[in-house]
Amino acid sequence: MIKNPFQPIPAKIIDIIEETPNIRTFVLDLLGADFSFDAGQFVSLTVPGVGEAPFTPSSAPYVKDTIEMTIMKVGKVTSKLFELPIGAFVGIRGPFGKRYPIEKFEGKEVLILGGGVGLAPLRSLFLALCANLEKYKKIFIKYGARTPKDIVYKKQLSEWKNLKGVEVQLTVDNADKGWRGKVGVVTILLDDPKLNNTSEMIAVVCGPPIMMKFGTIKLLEKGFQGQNIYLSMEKNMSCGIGQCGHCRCGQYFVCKDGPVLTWEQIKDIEDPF
Amino acid sequence: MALYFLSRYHLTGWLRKLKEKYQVILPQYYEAKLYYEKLNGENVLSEENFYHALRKIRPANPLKEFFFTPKLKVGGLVENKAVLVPFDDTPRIIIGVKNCDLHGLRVHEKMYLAAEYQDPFHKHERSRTIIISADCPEPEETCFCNLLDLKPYPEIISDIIITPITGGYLFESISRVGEDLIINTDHNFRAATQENIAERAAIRSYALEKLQKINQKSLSVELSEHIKHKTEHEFWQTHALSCVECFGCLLICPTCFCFLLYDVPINDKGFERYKIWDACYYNAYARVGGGANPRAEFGQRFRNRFHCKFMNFYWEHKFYACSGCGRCFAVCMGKIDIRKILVEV
Ligand SMILES: Cc1cc2nc3c(=O)[nH]c(=O)nc-3n(C[C@H](O)[C@H](O)[C@H](O)COP(=O)(O)OP(=O)(O)OC[C@H]3O[C@@H](n4cnc5c(N)ncnc54)[C@H](O)[C@@H]3O)c2cc1C
Ligand code: SF4
Ligand code: SF4
Ligand code: FES
Repeated sequence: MIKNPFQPIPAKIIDIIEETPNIRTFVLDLLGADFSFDAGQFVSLTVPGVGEAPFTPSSAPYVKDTIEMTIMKVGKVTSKLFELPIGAFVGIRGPFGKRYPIEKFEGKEVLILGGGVGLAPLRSLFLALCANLEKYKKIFIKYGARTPKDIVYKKQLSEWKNLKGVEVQLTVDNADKGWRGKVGVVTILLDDPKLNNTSEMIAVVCGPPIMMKFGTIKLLEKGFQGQNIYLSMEKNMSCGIGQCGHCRCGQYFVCKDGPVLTWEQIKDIEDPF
Repeated sequence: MALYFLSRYHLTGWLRKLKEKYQVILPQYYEAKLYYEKLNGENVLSEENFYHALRKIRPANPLKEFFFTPKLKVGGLVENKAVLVPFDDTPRIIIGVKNCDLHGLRVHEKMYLAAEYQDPFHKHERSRTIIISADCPEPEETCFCNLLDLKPYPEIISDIIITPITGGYLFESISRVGEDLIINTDHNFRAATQENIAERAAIRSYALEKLQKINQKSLSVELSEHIKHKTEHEFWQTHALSCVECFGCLLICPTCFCFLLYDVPINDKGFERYKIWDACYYNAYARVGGGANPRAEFGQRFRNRFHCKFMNFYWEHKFYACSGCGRCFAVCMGKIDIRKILVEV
């Protein structure tokens, strides 16, 4: 009997972390299920009776038994999820899609460019890289949020700053009184003299479509190579396994061939984002 | 494997024998139109009807509905236990499948069975089905399989191919299962004669010629490139003008494979999950969380169908996700003929 890829397994919400007014991290207990993922892969989360939506785990891939997902409230499924208390059950399917080829990042400088809730999948990647931090020449985390209130993982970001070989820079579109950091869209952080070996660097990008677009344009201007720019593609998804057609992006099914594609792969596609 | 002849006189006897062991599905007439239907006690089994049905082109309904019903339960969680979906194990035979519908099955094979994940429901439906396909002696105005390099007679997937000829039927067994079905169910089959075989060859060349007359303008060998480079929004918008957005064309298409996983709540205890037919013309099809929509305008969605069938699918599998069956414009209230667009593009 072949496995039923449409069937979710139950998972229990064991903690909810309020990241921002509309972003929360949900910690799920997998109830002993045989489940593991690699950074870059995503899962389909079911809110019982409402439906499914795709999310990338934000926790470290090597942590078994639980996974975390950092989720922004935007619509039907996510709004209902935000009403669920600790102890409630959800369903998960997956993991789906391809992992980041982190072995290709070894010995290189890695730029992690995130916008808004887009830092979630990048946190999982960063934690995976952290397991062997010495293997990477340097890691730049550059993150933008709309306002200081919208910054996720505040505590961790300030801890990561202190790690050797890691540099963290933040910006907000609109500052408030207490903000002393940079103001402007996240791409301004790319005007950084320390990014001086761009043709050899890896860039990993996740954020809203508009940021993916202008982020890519700027990275290319700065000399990054198309095959070294890894982009998390957000498409409508249903099956997660390359059968239902929803996530079509040019010749790719983003669920199966992605969700991370390089600029080299998608550069000929009209309006890829 | 081998060629046999069965006289018109013996046909119904053979069908009756099949019905003892199998669920039989075959094209049946309803007011001059043909539908694939299960043979039950009520629909009449007349040889006359069968003969005419077999000589017609493909039925109105697409074959895919026997492998993937419009709303199929595929699982769920109730009180945190997986909802088990029982499989129907009744062996069945579908008779009278035309090449265009076989091609539709082939597209679905690529989508649902050929990759890393297989759809266990589709796989099961395939495994319990014997396919007896048939020639198209008289292609009609809506047929254009020839433009897509397909023939008006079965080329793939079948267990047996039937061709109505003078005084009876020519049977060609293609698979072991098909061969067994012929030699074990009836003593009235006899070896086909050279004349029988020559008659089939003549029927086929006539059908090919007729198709060529129906479809005089051939498609470019670089169709996928033409589609790719047809970026003018105007072109697609203009062709989409008379569309009334009923999306019948996509639902009735034997190759269209899109679906949506849709959950139905079961009290407060959980949910059942259904796989339902979906179509890329729906506004919400590609919309992402929060409302952004990469194909917000209908013209973009209209064009997407051509990208899917004649470009993206073709690049990956080297054949088109369209079989030339003509159902989409046979149902179209706006009279949009896909051939016209393919020729103009
Ligand atoms: C690979 C991947 C990873 C992601 N990771 C994250 C993450 O880590 N964190 C995060 O916050 N977000 C993530 N997202 C985005 C997340 O999936 C969306 O925000 C989520 O799907 C929103 O679901 P919703 O039901 O709340 O939103 P809605 O806006 O209500 O709807 C979501 C989807 O359902 C469809 N839909 C809604 N109503 C209908 C209808 N009536 N008929 C048909 N279709 C309908 C919409 O077209 C839309 O695609 C990721 C997306 C992808 C593709
Ligand atoms: S697109 Fe039209 S002609 Fe082509 S397979 Fe579908 S229904 Fe038939
Ligand atoms: S399109 Fe071709 S295969 Fe299909 S019914 Fe017409 S002639 Fe037969
Ligand atoms: S989500 Fe179904 S094909 Fe990608």
